Amino acid sequence: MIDPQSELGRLRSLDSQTVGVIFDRYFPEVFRYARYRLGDELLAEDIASEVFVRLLEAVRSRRGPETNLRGWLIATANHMVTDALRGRYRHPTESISDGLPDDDPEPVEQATRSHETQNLRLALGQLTGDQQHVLALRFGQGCSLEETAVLMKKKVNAVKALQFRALNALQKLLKEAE
Amino acid sequence: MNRQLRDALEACLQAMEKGESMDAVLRRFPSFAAELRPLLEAARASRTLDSGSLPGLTVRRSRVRVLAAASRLRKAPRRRSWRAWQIAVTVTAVLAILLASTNGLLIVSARALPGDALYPLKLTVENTQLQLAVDPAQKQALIRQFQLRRVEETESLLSQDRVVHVEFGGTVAAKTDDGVLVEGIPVVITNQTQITAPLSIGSEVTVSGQTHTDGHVQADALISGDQSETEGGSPAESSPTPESTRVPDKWGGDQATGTWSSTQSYQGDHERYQTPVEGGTPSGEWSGASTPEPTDGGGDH
Repeated sequence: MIDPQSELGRLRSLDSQTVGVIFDRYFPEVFRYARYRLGDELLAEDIASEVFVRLLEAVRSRRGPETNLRGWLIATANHMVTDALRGRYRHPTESISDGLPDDDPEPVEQATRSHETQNLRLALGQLTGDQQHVLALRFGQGCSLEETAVLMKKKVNAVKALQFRALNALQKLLKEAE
Repeated sequence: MNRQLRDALEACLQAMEKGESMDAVLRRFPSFAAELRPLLEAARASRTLDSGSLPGLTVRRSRVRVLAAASRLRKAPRRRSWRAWQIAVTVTAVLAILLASTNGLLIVSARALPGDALYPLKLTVENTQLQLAVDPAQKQALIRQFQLRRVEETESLLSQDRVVHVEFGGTVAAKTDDGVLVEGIPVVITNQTQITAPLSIGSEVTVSGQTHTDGHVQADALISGDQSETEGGSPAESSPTPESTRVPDKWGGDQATGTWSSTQSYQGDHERYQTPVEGGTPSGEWSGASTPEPTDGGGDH
């Protein structure tokens, strides 16, 4: 296991082994973050891999992260997801992948869950970028309040307030959709 | 009280994360239980959005792509390095010139929020950008971009607990106990709020009001999208001039002529716009005729 500081140093050489280690360590988190926000596996894959390509380009040109690699990756993913969502602003797609397993034993139950997931995703899409970001970190990534504050570069109390507003808005939108 | 509620919410979330049931954690905060329950349900629903599994094919495909990019970047080190150096020198020189001149203010002002000294400059820059945009599509894109910027600014102000007058536009996403939700931001409507057109879910409005430390915007005016759009002007700089159909002193149910239909569109007397509420009866309870305050629990957003 390489410590985060030396892995950043070694990353500058762009050798395949170091890039591979960093990819293996952080890709799942970045991919899950993008998938949570977008609800689209293919787009999430595209964005997550592009985040790593941008990391390599940034490191190559000395614009990369100095200390917090994870924070840099998630922040870049956030920006790219926000851009992607703006691109399809107010044009929600009909077929939203909800990631349900194909072998669900109860088709009716599956349809209900699919409907609920779709409502949830539509509601999530109506929140502000920051509100979506905080929910993705807290409930998609399972980050603690303190971790979320570091990743969002905000104070803990500000994250607490943002989280409160996000959940409040979300529950109202879900209630509206019922 | 709002801060206590936020703290209680966080305590409940942490306890549920450790496996405690919702009912068990709510018993610790009986005075907040009614307000906390829907928030915790929303949090629980939010957790279900991640399907959990990581597709192997996705990982393999992305790994190949990233390693190929690393290889490509490795093979052209000198040229790219020189180019990066050239870009860095150029950018530094341009930045130095810009910051040394008064134009530097324009760049600094880009991060200004309503209430900041440089904020008017930011709006002037946006206005100039709009006037210089010749292509209608480009102009529309700019208007939309600035509209989103107003929302983000309001979000930032609320996060910082700042009390400032704001204006932002967006879609009415839902009705709340004491107002509406516009672009995810709770907007509280009082009997002082001027509403220039019927409100319905999905309608475009420009909100003019004041941020509150409780995390909502108290609306002075809600202007319908059609009326707020000015020729070539950004939503931010359009001054709200509601042709005032002033909301009556109280939201008395007996005065309310409008109702929300099952399709959630407002049907009512357009000459006397009432705050649209289910069945024509306001769901928010208010006291006083001048500046009503929501009852406990109704205004904490």
